[in-house]
Amino acid sequence: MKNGIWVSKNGRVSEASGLQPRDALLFAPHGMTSEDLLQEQRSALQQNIKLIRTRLAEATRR
Amino acid sequence: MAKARVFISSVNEDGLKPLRRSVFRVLEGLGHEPLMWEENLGPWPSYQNPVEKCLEAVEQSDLYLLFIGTRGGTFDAAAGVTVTHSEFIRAVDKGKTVLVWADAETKAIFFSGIAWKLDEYIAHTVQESGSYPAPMQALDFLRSCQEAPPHIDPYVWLLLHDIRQRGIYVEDLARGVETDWRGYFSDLLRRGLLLLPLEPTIAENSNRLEEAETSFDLLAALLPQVTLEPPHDWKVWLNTIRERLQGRTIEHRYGRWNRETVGSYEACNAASLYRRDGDSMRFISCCGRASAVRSFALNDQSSYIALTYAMGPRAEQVYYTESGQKFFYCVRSGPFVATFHFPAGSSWDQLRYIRYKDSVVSAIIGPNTRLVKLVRLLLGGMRA
Repeated sequence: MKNGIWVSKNGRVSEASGLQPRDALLFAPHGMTSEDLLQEQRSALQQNIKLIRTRLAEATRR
Repeated sequence: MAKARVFISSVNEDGLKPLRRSVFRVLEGLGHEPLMWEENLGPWPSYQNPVEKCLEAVEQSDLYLLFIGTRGGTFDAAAGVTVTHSEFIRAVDKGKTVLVWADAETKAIFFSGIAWKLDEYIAHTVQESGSYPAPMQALDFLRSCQEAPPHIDPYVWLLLHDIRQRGIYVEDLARGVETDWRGYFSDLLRRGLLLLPLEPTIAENSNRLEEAETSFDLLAALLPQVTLEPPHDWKVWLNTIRERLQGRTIEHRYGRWNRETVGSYEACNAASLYRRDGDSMRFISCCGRASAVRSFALNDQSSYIALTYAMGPRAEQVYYTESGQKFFYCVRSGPFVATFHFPAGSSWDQLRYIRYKDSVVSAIIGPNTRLVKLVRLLLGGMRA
């Protein structure tokens, strides 16, 4: 399913074009999954911890 | 004993030269190690790139001071920024303490009109073309901007815009008024002294965080190796998860730095669980304000449960309905589809959803990545 806006209405799914009925179900396939985001978050976390440790070591060095 | 290295940065313009010299002398007098091109940095031998050497000096500094007047400085077409702007970006990127002063008149003109004009122009360009305007495009816009006086180089506005987007405060630089540098640096010392005693606490928190991550890794590695009995009460099980899904604001990002709050969603108020049974998705349980539908045919394209199941064994999708004013976060794990209902804030309608769809999805999935992984692993291990 390609990116963009999709709509489920009258029992069928199609690519949405223009405004849809208010009770239509809209969705948009996303490039990132929760697993991708989790990997990004973990990588950022590790970098942050490393930075904090480096700075603390520099700040407390005599 | 190590001294505090302070990089003094500004465009090389006449109006700022006395100020740069004065700050250099004060810092030197206080026992710090100021770094400034005309005093102790340049010039380097011709085979060494002066810009790269300046950026190295920024990296080696502990504090970065930037003074902004009315000149934009040398524009590096390849980088798309001026040399001074490059230094600023390097300082921020390397996590330096950054302090910025701008000519009071320049700053007042920027914040009284140009900032908003530039915001509008960038938002409009992003909406029209799907990408951030190139620097030369933005400079053309600024040259035509009525609020921008001709004696101030348009690049100054781009630099101030970037500083503002990064949430860095800009101090006033009033001509003829001596800045109390000693008082300023005493305040910096005070702030550092407040944080230094927290070193063991911060280090301890980092250690605990790493331990928590290691435990989560272990759980994620062990759970797929076991078969679990279904819970005694699925409703309680679902509710235990639902209670942990909070409401949040939804931010839309423009490029790397600029962001805007475009709405919110409320805490999860309902959850449901379905399991594949032959040609249908059979209701297992629900909690909160979800209504129970006994089953959905697998090919029922009006059901977000059947749709998510059809997307694959590890599918997940966020749906929106205007009539229900809700976002539905559906997660598939093997034969199960769990759905979490988040009431949308009052500002949402179809047009807004269409415009900010990616931001909605990121705002709902992003803060719940570990929780969803755990739910998936638990459901994946349930005995049939």
